[in-house]
Amino acid sequence: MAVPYTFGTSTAAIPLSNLDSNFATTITLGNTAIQLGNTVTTLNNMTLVNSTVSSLANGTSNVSIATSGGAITVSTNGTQAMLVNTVQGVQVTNTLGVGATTPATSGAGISFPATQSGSSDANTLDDYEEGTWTPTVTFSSGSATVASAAAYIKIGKTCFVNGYISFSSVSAATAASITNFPFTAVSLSGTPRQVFVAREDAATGKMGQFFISAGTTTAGLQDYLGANGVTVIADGYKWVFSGTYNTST
Amino acid sequence: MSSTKTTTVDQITVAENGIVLYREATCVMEDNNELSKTYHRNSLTPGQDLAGIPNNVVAICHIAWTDKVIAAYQAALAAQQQSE
Repeated sequence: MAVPYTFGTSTAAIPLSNLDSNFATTITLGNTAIQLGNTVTTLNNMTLVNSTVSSLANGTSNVSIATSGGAITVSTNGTQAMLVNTVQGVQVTNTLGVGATTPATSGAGISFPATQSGSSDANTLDDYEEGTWTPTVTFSSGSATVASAAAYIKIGKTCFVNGYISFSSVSAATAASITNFPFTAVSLSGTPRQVFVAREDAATGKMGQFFISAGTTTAGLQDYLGANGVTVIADGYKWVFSGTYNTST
Repeated sequence: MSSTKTTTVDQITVAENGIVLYREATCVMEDNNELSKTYHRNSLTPGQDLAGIPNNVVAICHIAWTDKVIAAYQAALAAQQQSE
């Protein structure tokens, strides 16, 4: 047997007698020469076929990469975490974190960065966030007691909002502005505002409209004919609304 | 096993026209593991009253809201309201 011996051409077990007495004979894996006692951490130009790479700790395989039937399986602690298959693509068992995000530990899904990492590519989804916000009302004149609550879901540059605003103790209140929207509405030439549908859900059942101004987090409130003031602000009125608007980021 | 619930302002953004958006994150932690996190968002328009707003957000507003920024925002808003 030639020394150094290249394992890549071996067709049979190699007897220890072929190694020299002090185990200094090198063997070659890929194009990396190693010998017993070496602590080589990188092997170059190797091809593994139907192979499993595993790490054992306390008798349990806590990391393994295995190939089978054209697929690669990545497992931790004996449980499959990811499957890569040229036909089906990539399958993850729980949650996929993008942008170096630590995946959420509950449920299964995609975890985005807590702070958006905006993409300029038109085909890339770069943000997801859900939460709450509190609509705040300011009046041109007069006053009223306001109760409100709302929620949002932002997907990319689209923000879904829904919530309610109710009025009591109304005193000559006139045109109202709804502020504190969770994201700034996009500024788009020729489109000064975006509109949500609203319904007065406690006293009259009348329809209304919220319209958020471009580049702002402020909306107006009118009934379906464009009237405001006492038409939309009265004791006991509760406006429920839902809609979608495009955001600036 | 101990759990804690904390609310912090974890994000403050200033838009080009001076609107300040901030996010409050409420985290429930148990033994240094995050059990849940919820968000509540707010936005502030240039020149608005800052009573009750967290101090770090107020500090940003004071920097961002120059007289020029406030005047420009109010002029833009007035122009939009005229077209309603």
